[in-house]
Amino acid sequence: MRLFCRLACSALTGAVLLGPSFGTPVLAQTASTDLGQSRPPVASIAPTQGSDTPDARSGTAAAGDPVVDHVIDAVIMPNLDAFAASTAALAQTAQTECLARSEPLRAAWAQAFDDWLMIEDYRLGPLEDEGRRYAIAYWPDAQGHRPRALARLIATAPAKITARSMTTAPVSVRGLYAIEALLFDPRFSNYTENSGACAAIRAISADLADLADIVRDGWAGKFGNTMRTPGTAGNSRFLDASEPRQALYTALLSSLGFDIDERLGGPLGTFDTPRPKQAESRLSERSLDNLLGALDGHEALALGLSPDAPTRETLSTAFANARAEIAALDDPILAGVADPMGRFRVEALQSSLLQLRREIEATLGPALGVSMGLNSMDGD
Amino acid sequence: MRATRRGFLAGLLATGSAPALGWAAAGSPGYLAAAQEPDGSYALYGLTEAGERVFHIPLPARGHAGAGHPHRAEAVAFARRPGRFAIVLDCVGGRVLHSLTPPEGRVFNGHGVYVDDGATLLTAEQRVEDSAGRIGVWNVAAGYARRGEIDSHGIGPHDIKHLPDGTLAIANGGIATDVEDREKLNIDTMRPNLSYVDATGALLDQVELPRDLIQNSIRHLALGPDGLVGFAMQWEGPKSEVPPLLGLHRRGSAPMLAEAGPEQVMMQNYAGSIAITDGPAGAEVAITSPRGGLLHRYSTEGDFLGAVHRADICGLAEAGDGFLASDGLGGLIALRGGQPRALAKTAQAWDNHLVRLTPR
Repeated sequence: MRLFCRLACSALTGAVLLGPSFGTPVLAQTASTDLGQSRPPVASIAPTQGSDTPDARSGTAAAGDPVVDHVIDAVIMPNLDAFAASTAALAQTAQTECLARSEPLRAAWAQAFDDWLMIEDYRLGPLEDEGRRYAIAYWPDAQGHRPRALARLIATAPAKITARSMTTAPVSVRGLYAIEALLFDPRFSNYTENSGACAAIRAISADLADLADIVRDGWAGKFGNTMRTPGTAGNSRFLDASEPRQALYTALLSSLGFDIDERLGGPLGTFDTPRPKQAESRLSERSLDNLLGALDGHEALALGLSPDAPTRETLSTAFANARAEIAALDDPILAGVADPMGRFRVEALQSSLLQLRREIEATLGPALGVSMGLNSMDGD
Repeated sequence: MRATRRGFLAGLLATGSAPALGWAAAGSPGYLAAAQEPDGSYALYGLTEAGERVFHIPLPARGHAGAGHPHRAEAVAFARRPGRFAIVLDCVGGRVLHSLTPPEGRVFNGHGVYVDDGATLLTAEQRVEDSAGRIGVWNVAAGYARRGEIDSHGIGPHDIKHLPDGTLAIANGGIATDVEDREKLNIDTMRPNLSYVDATGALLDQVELPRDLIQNSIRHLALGPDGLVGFAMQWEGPKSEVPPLLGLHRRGSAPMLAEAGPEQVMMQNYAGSIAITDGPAGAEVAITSPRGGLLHRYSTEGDFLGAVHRADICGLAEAGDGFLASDGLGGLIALRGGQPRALAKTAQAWDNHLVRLTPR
């Protein structure tokens, strides 16, 4: 009996009666009022300086924030364009090259993944609506949903696996990590032309390119406008100019927290039970490269948000230090977590990212006039 | 250890106490909310439905929730759990009227509610040694004298609501906590429930979650039409699971859990507040997730109606045929039929809850 939606298994919606078993209905688009921001999971911020914004009710337009305009124009949009382009190229390549051993296909996937790492920090708005971030990049998969769901998917008649059918498929079989499993996991990668797996590679890639377009278009259009016009009538998502800054700053810290807690914390596990097999992209041997790519994304966003040169310099140094720590670790798939010496080095790397987070909080938070806040930090 | 069964209905309104002022004298607030001031201090505010702040009283520490007397301009502010104190405030004069301290071996654990037309205050408490739930009974007329306690019929009760028929609905969160540091002690074996209890403490009805959802802590309650009780949950299980966070129940019927499809994951497995309103087009239930910066609306049949995004949103209460919501960025937002409208952006960061002064 299935009692609730396990996101990775199937997509359910609506009410669930406790008692009788029910099927796994597939859902349509959900209504979402595009007025507020989807906040990232970890941090919350509140204005450091308290002063009421008298204009919230009168709808007087607040002046645009050059910091926010700059980071959207110079960082966010170019990165979203790049991700849209590389996922489109991946979908195109998959049309002609679907086999796991295809070097052009692997290269196209790797480029899309690299470009994803530059945008995964934008954890608000279009990337969060309808859970798109999970559809693009469902990881970690600690419960092992993906292999089971993927096995079911590729057993389907190839003609039934389409970009359209993927939109209602479980998120564990969508996106970059599902393609990675098909390309690199020996349980799947031995497929032939005209197989379900071949159809799946094409369909997942096309669906991924569609998602990339939706996210880019959202930032270029409605959501970007909402973020650029805080405090205007009808904008209840961003009530004053401090709030878009806070949202981006929080997104940055949340994403860095993901590196610390999941990319490193996952395989580290505990001393008694390290989990080396939980290293991200272990089979494609990208674990450490992903961390470096993620750091590039954080740095681009952090520097883009920095309102002055001293802040940029301080942050550049902090990022360079963290990057040097990563580069010095000669353990591309973090396998060392299972032995005491290797574990010590991965823990040291985790500490350097914690230090980086503290430096961002100490430097960028005050520079933007934001700090950590109340409700989402600790619950009750 | 059996709780006293002296019923809280036995209380009578004070006859000998000094005349007290009604809420009109405090500016006719509709809601209470705890807040953090820009200088880091804490206060209890009275708010109107339009988001105006009509009074505020400094609090000695961060507050969690409050309860307002049904007639007098008098409010109880509870410390964050596990709470060693609550204070009764005169919302006109700003004075502390009484300080409530739970008896030895008990701590406050969240919310409280006035019953018996204001003659009695009930407080969610837990036993220090094992988090067994108790509902403290305080005699308001006798200067908030402790009258006794009844069993909450679960571990770690957090929210209490008083149904129109006099029954109490109690959210037993199921989590045993270390009273010093809030460490959760029983996540693997927790068993939350929604208990219906009468004035003597007798258990009338109890809703438990199915086995694979027992790590879903039932924490907050809202009352709807015709005995409907909505409950909001916080997931303590594996992060990779995405359970429902809203339950709907009427005594005598099967409980129902509701979820939001692909949006569900964005709630970050955490619902901070719940409210039910009549709605412009039928009754609506809403839950907030400060971690997700998200409010989800449902019909009272559990159909997902849509999402509203707002950073750090948590406080939520019914307002007319819509809702009033508050957040840690100082936003006060009116919602009607899913359409948000900013009422104010204040310097105060609004804490967990908005408490309506004249509840359904």
